[in-house]
This record gives sequence, C-alpha cells and structure tokens, in this order.
Amino acid sequence: MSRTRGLALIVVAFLAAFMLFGGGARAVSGLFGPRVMLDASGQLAQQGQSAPSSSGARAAPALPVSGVAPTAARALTSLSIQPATKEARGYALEARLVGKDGKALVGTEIAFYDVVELLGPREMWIGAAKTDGFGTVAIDYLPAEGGAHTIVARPTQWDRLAATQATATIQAVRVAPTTYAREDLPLDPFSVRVPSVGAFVLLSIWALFAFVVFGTAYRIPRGVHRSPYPGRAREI
Amino acid sequence: MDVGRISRRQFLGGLGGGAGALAAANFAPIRFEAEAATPPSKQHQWAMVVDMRRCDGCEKCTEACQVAHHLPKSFQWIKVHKRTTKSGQEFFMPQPCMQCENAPCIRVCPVGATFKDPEGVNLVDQDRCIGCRMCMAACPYGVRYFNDTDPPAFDNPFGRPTPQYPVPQQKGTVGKCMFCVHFTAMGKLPACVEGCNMYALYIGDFISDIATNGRETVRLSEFLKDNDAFRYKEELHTGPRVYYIAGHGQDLGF
Amino acid sequence: MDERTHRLYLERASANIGRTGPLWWIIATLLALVVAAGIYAYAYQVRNGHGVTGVNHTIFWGLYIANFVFFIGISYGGAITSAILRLTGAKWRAPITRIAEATAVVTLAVGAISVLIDVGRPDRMLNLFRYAQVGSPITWDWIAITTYLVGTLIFFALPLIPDLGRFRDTLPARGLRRKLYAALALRWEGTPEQERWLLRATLIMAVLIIPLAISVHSVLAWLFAMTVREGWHSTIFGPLFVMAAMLSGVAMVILVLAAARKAYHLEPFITRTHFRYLSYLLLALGAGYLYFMVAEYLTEGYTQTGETGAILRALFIGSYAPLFWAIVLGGLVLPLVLVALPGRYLVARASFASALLIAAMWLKRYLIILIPGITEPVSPLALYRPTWVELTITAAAVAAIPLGLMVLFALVPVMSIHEVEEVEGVVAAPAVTSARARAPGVAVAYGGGDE
Repeated sequence: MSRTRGLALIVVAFLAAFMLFGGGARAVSGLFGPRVMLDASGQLAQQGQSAPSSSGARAAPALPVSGVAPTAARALTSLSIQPATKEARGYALEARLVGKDGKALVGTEIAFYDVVELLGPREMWIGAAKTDGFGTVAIDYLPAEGGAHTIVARPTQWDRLAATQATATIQAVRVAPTTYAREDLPLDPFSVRVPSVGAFVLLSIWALFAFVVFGTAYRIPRGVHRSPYPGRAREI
Repeated sequence: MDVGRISRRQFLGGLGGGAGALAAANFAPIRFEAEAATPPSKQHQWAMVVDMRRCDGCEKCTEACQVAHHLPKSFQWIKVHKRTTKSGQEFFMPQPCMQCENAPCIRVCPVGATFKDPEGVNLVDQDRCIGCRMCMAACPYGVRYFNDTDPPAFDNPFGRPTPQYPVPQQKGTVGKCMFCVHFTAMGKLPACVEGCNMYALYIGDFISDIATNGRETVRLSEFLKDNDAFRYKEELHTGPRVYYIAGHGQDLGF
Repeated sequence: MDERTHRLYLERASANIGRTGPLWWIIATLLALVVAAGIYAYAYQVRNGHGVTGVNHTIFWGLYIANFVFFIGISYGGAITSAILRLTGAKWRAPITRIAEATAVVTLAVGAISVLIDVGRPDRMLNLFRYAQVGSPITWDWIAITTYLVGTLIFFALPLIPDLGRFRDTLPARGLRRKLYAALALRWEGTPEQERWLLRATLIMAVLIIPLAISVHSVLAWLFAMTVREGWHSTIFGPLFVMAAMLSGVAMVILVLAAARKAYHLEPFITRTHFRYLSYLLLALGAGYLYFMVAEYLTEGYTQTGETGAILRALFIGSYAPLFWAIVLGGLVLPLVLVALPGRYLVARASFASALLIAAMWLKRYLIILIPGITEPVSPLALYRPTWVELTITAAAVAAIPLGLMVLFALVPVMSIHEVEEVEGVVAAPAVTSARARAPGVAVAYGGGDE
C-alpha cells in the first residue's frame, strides 16, 4: 500500500521535475552545458563550446566529435559529455581510450565517477563499461543535484593505465527526481480530531467532578434545619 | 524550543484543547498538517546501508561506537547480531538505530524527549527524559538502551551533554544510536562507519543521493536498487532509514 | 431489621473507630516494617540506578509494571462492585460497600506509587505536565489515573459524610479527630435536603466511576497494545485487561471481606449470602476471562503469523509453559470450580478461590511483561530475574494494602451506617429514594440463619 503510494509520489515528483526542467517549451534551454574535454594532464581542452540555445526549440547543440586524438603521449583517454539520447537519462558520458600509437584500445573497462562532497570529497561511482571497437565507451548519467559536477573517467583494471584519467565538468540542469519521500501513515491526517474528542469527554468528566464536589460543599451545609437536630431525634 | 522539537510529529497530533489546558504553558503543540507541508531540510537526510555480504562479525563498529560515546560494554548502540539462514549458514547483521520515519519511540514519548532532528535523525534529550522506558517498549528493533547505572565518567569538553552529543549519558534516562550527528555535523564519518574494517557500513544522504563507506562512494538509490536492499521489519511501516543488503542466501524478510 | 439488630450493627460498624488494641499495633508494626524495608530498597535503587533491579535491555519493564497494572486492576474491582450494587439498588450491598470502596482507594494509591518507583528519573515527574505529549499512552495513562483517583476518592468520601456526622458528636469536644470529622461532615444533620443531594451526588459518581474504571484499565492495556510488539499489539488487550481487573478486584473484595469479617466480628452482617453473590459474580467474570483468553489464543494460534507462533509456543509448550498452565488450571479453572460447587465451607472456598485467582492474575501480568524476551528474535532469549530490591518493594506494596486498610478503618466505620439506614428505610426517605426502593432488588435478611 505504502509502496504503491511511494511509487506514485516518486512518479508525481518526477513529472513535476519534468515539467520544470525537462518538458514544455523551455525544455532545452540551458539544459545542456558546454562540452568540455580534458586531457590527462588536467589541461582544459574546450572544444566548440555550444552556447545554450535560447530559441526554445528542441535543437540540440551540434554533437561533439568524441574520440579526439590524445593531446599528449600519455593522454590515453578523452572524455566528452553530451545530452543523452533519451532526455530522461540526462547526460551521456563518453570516453575514448587510445594507445600510444593512436589506435583504439578495445575491451578495456572504463569507470566513471562524479566528484562529490559527502563528509569530505569523494568520487562517487557512476558506472563502468567496456570500450567498443573504436575504443569508446558511453554511459548515461542523470545527477541527483544541479550545478557543477566534475566527472572523472578512468580504466578500472588495467594497471598500466591506472594513473591515466580524464575529467570534465557539466553544469547539470536536469536532475533526477528525488529519492526521498516522507512515509506518512494513512490515518495520520484523520487522527488530529481524535484527541479533541477525548479532551471533550475528559473535560466533561472533570466538570461533573467539580459539580459533585462543589455541590456537596455548598448544598449540604446549607441543608441544615433551623430546628435543633431533627435528624438526630430519629431513634430506631 | 529548537526546530527539531517543533517539527516533531505525532499520532493523535494536535490536541490544542484538553491536555493543552491541563498541561502547563510549555505544552508543545504538535503541528500536524502544517508540518507535512514543510519540505524536508535540503541539507542532508541521513540513511545507512549495511552490506551484510561484507560483515565478518568483528564488532569493530560496536567498539568504535562505544569509544566515541563513552559507553559501557553492555551498551551496543550498534549491535552485531549473529544469525543463521534456513540452510544453517551463519551471517552477521549489524544493527544501529533505524532512525524510522514513523518512529514509534517518538510517538509514545510522554514528554517529547525523543524527537527527529532536521536531518532525519531521531535524538534523545536526556535532560528531559523521565526514564519511563515506553520508547523501549515501542521500539520494534530493540535499539534503545536504558542507563541503569552511572555511565563511565567523562569530562565533556563542550560542557553539558546535548541531544547532539549525549556524552556522558545520564543515569535513569534512555539513550541510543544517533548516527553520530556530532561527527557528521563536522564533516566526519560516523564512528561505526569509520571503524568498520570490512567497509560494510555506508552512511548515505537521500538528498544528494550519495552513500559512502569511507572508501567507496556510490549512488545511494542505485546502490539500493541494484543490490535488492531491504529494510528490517518493513511490514511494520516504521519507515526505517537503514537498508540491508543480503548476499548469502538470507531470506529478504528474515 | 429490628432495633436490636440495628444496635448491634451500629456497635460492630463503629467498634474499630479510634480503638487500636495491642493486636492492632503488633500487626501494624509488622506491616510497617515491611513497608519500611521497601522504602529502604527504593532509596537503594535511587542511589544506584535501576541496575540493581533485574530489568535489562530486552526486558525493560519488570515487577513494578506488573504490580502497577495489577494493583490498579484490583482497585477497579472494589470501585465497580460498589458502583454496580448502588446503581442496581441491591439492598444487600449496605454492609460491604464501605470495604469495597476503601479497598479501591488503598490499592489505587499503591498502584500509582508502583509506577513512580519504576520511573528512571522520579525527580522529573513534573515533565509529564510541562511537556505533555498527547500522542503518548503514558500521557493518557496519567490523565486517566489522576481522574480515576479523584473520582474514587470522591466516591469514597461522599457516603462517609453522614457517618462522620454521626460520630462527630460522640467525640470529645476538643479532640483533633473531632475537628477533622466536623470538617469532613460538612454540618451533616440528615435533613431531607441533605439526603436528597447526597443521593444524587452518589449516583452521579456511581455512574461515572464505571466508565472511568473501564477507561483506566483500557489505557493501561494500551500501554502495551500501542506498541508494535507481537504478543502485546492486540485488539483484545483492552477488554482482556478490564476483565482481568474486574476478576482480580472482585476476588480482592472477597478476601478483604473475609478478613474484615473475622477481624471486626462482622459475621452477623456480612453473611454467607454476600459471599455467595460475590462468588456468582466471580464465576461470571472468570468464565468471561477464560473466554477472552480462548478468543485471543485461538485466533492468533490458528494463523500463527509473524512471531505469534513463537510466543504461543513458548507459552503452551515452551519455557513458560509451567507458569502458563499453572495460571490457567490452578489459577482460573480450579478457583472457578471451587466457587461453582454447592455445599459447605462457602466462605472458606470463596476466600481460597479468590486468593488463587489473585495470584493467577498477578502471574498473568508478570507473563505479559516477559513477552519481549520471547519476541525479540534477534537477541537470544533474555532472562529476567527479579532482584531483592524488586521483591522487597513488591512485598512492601502488598503489605501496604492491609496496613492502609487498618489505618483507614481506625478512622471510619467499617460498614456504612447511613447506607443501611437508607436501604432499611430508617432515614427520612427523599423522593428519589422511595422511587428507587420500589425497583426490584435483592433483599437480604440481616442476621438471618444463613451462617
């Protein structure tokens, strides 16, 4: 029951988020950040920064060419970010792995991380995949929070390349629907009235107490006959 | 009256009249509907994930907790239970306070000594607790501990113990795991997470959707989904904030 | 009731007042010593914390809570017996209402103190008022118990007014007791106006006290039933507790009546008939309680969902089976058979059956507080062993009841004098009374050959 409702809440929240950030006329505006490429040395290698379309049309910026030749001998990975093929999936992270000779490296697992802050800076695991025949690997990412995200890509297992990584940043506009929802109990809104009824009953009881006590204290002393002890006169 | 106390939510919520008239001026009105409209704090909403595949039952988490809170040995705010599956295989289940959304302990406290803080952690105001132990009766997880003797002596560097740093504990009151809010407020990991050698404990945040065990950091929602995480005694609708990942053929619901 | 009987009644009812013989003092001293030991044990507990008791992290409520529920339950029986007899106009009630009401007052006081002893921080009891939380069963509890306590005191004090008025004039003029009686008697003279008001007030209280007693004991049950623990979280808990309270309360009334009868030589007035009628009541309540138990266990045992299977197993064939079957067979079935049988030794049988029932009802409460030890599946079966502190305090609570009754009956007549005059039509009958006197009631021949 609550799970169904929780699901419904998430769906509603998602729809709301979609209306705000994803759907409608202003869907694309500001949705996609600049495409950023970084080489392994950390130098910024911006390529064809596409300004966010302000026309309001669903015109995705020209897709950047991924898999750009490495800029340095040790820069084996390049990382690019672009809108995912499906909007709900957020951003596509695409990396290409090439060897020193410039040829693509096939079948190597590349992991993506988001540099986050939770009780200290941490690299949050996004996902991993193996490079295809072109040495590229792509994975969709829909951040939980808006704002700047620094993405890191790195081969997972290949020791020789372990030190090799590429980073890029995105200005996330679209975010995932929140996973946090209150879990209220079904009767809670109703139960507000219950104590009022109880209080009414309680006050009535105490009012009766007061009636009895004060009535006794008032009526009995005043119920005395003027004549001396008529009640006492009764003997059996 | 701090935020946590006002934002406490209770079954049979807002008796403005009767008991309010009987109780003295300090009667905390239980705002019910207004509160439901209040969005949860944007900072953090803490959760915990216990990866039972990794736990080897070493109880380092318990020790770290006892050191951090200066607790006697019998006070296991995070307790490692040894359990067996139906096939006879042993596994370990570390159990901190579940920090329930619909916490029964909060609901039954007669003086409002237990309350939910803005980050979703249920704290105990030991300056107010009368030690009736109704909360222990209400807690289906048995994570509350009654201070039946004087706690080990400890000079609290911050002066008096507070709900956020209830050290030393007070005799005659009830204490429990509080997700180490004194550490998380300073940007440190909770003691048990820090102390776990097997990296089986994750502290997580629903808002940023991140969880970390100190070494690995994961997307909380995906991590729970991908690993079929479940909550202990989910059917009680307490809304626990501690998730378990089973991996050794344990029954999901036990 | 002829004049001779009435004089004897007056004499016996008031023989105890102010006369504390050597036997009285010996018994009172012994009881007071037990109470003092309990006070010492409590001081020891306050100094050292609840660690000196047997409660632990799993079984967090111990003997004190069992005592609390038990004594308040007993109080219920006294109050409701008196109230029901008054409302139905049962004429045979007159000699026993005072004892029933006094039992209610004393046991209620003991019960209320029992729960204060259990609290970890008794110095903070005012927090219950300062920070009252409406959602908490404990808040319901103290409101209900306070209300019930006040109601019981009023209910006890109202019929005292005429009796105190009578004794006021017989006391030495300068005595402290005379002043006390004069203050409490409110210038009672027995005029029709006074009679009318007193009758009305007593009836109001008699009507009020029944729902009050039911609500108090339901709230006590909800202390357990509002938790999510299986074995406690049960819809039948309220009615079950009410029934158990009535059962143990009526049994207690029988016991106190039997004791008072011997101690104050009331045999001519508290007769076998009283014990027979109260035995019928006991039988009906006991049968009702057994029915409730069957209803509870059969429903839960048939499906055995969740942990109820484990609980019932522990009760029926497991570690608590000896205790459980002792309660059911020795504490319920046997006493009911005892009181149901016709024949001789009626008073002795009723008293013995009442003692068994009271013990069984106490043990049943004790079993209830042990349930978390069974249901906590995660931790091994936690054991609860009451320590000397708890046992001493429990003994003190038990001793406090006869002590309180002895002190009370050194101050007030042990049988209501005014009431017997009212049901016998001796006093000036106000309009309400005569209307009620025509109602069918059970007539009892006082001093009849029933004994």
